[in-house]
Amino acid sequence: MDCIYEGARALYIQPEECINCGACVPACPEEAIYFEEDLPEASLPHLEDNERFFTETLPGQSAPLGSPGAARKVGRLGVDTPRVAAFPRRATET
Amino acid sequence: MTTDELVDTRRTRCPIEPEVGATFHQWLGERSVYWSNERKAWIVTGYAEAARILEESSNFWRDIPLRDGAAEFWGRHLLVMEGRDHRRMHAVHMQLTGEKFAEDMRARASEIARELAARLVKKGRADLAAEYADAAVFMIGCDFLGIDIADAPMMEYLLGEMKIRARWKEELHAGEGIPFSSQVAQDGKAAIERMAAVLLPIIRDRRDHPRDDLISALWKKGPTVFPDWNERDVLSTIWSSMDNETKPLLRGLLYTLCRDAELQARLRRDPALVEGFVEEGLRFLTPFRTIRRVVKQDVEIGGQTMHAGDSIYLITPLANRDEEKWACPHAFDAERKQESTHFAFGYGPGYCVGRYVGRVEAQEVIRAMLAGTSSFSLDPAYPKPEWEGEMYHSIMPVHAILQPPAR
Repeated sequence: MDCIYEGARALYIQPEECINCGACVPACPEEAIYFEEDLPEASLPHLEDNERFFTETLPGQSAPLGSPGAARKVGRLGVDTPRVAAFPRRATET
Repeated sequence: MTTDELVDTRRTRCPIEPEVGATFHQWLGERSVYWSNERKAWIVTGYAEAARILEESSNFWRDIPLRDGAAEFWGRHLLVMEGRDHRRMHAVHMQLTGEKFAEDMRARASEIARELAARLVKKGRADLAAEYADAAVFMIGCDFLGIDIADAPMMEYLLGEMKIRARWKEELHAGEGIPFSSQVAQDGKAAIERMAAVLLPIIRDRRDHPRDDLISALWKKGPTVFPDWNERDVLSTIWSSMDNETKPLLRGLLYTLCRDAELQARLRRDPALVEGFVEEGLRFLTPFRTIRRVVKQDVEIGGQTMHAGDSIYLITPLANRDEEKWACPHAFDAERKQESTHFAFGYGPGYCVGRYVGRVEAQEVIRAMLAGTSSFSLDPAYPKPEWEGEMYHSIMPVHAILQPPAR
């Protein structure tokens, strides 16, 4: 599927385009993808934040991304939600 | 407009479309969703409606668990699971047999297929359906499970028993299924138990002495979903590696090649084209030709109101011929760029977990036969094979004459 969009520091799943096939769960090298019902409580804020990536106008953009239909059409956006952008950088990040 | 006229207007450019479509063209209606009094079920032929049904598991889900004998046939298999159990087990399958696993097994699949093809080419004539397509898929699956495929008598025994099981599988899934008390089901159950007597000792051995194979991996991962995971669960899970939709797909692809010497020559010249050939075969032949669903709550779709408990026949080869999704969809174009997702492997939460493995198996089995021959064609000594099957849309036998490669 092509429903995972690339921000600057994180990837975001377009909830309307995801077909719940589960292919991304084992593919994620960070083991950061969960089915909604299995999401650890501590990670619940990420669920809403993920949606905001598509529904709110991101810094430097003129309109919300919405549902483009395929991530490959959009390419790397190079921008994150304010919550993700504010996370301290890890040593391995460039 | 009659159904025949509808078919005629949509049947273009491909000489084998009329025979391939003979088992599903009758389902074309004036609407993409309509009620069939004959099947007492909704018939869905449209792409958008099919996608929605396959995606919305809260409104539509498999009817397999409701069928008489399903529990005896499948055990605790992904196909009879629902909700959270299904989602978690589906993820385990994707983890174990996803894209990486499929690429890792490619070289070994090629080796097995080439050995089998060479043996058949030496004979000069073969039923490419039973002796090659079915046997290759079975052997490749057994190999990655960790079953010793060099044990020829055991393999022959298991393959014979799998055919008896397959008859039950087809009948269980066709129409409204068959009673568990029927002879076909009882024969199938007995075959499963005879195979269990061979396979369970292997399964136990991998529990106690894990190796780098799928049976060992299932012992490791199964308990993450079901803490009471046991040897029967492993057995229930491995059937799909030994008997799956890749068999009917390959029968159809080999038949297609038997009918088209020019296409054979093109694929021999450029084996990289085989990947596209297999993908178009999946779309065009759609061997899993009917996906069944049951409606879970009243829902509007395609201008119709479906009620909870209604049955659905989703006619996948017709959805895969949507003219808005594919140009000239009734043509078989081996070099077609697949811009839309076809439903040969289903879609959504029930998306086939074997889709990566199946593609690799099909590609390597076709490449092996092309590499092992200078040409192959239908054997005129046998009657023309027929397409048939309610669930698996397939053609067999495919008796062929195999010409060795030029020296």
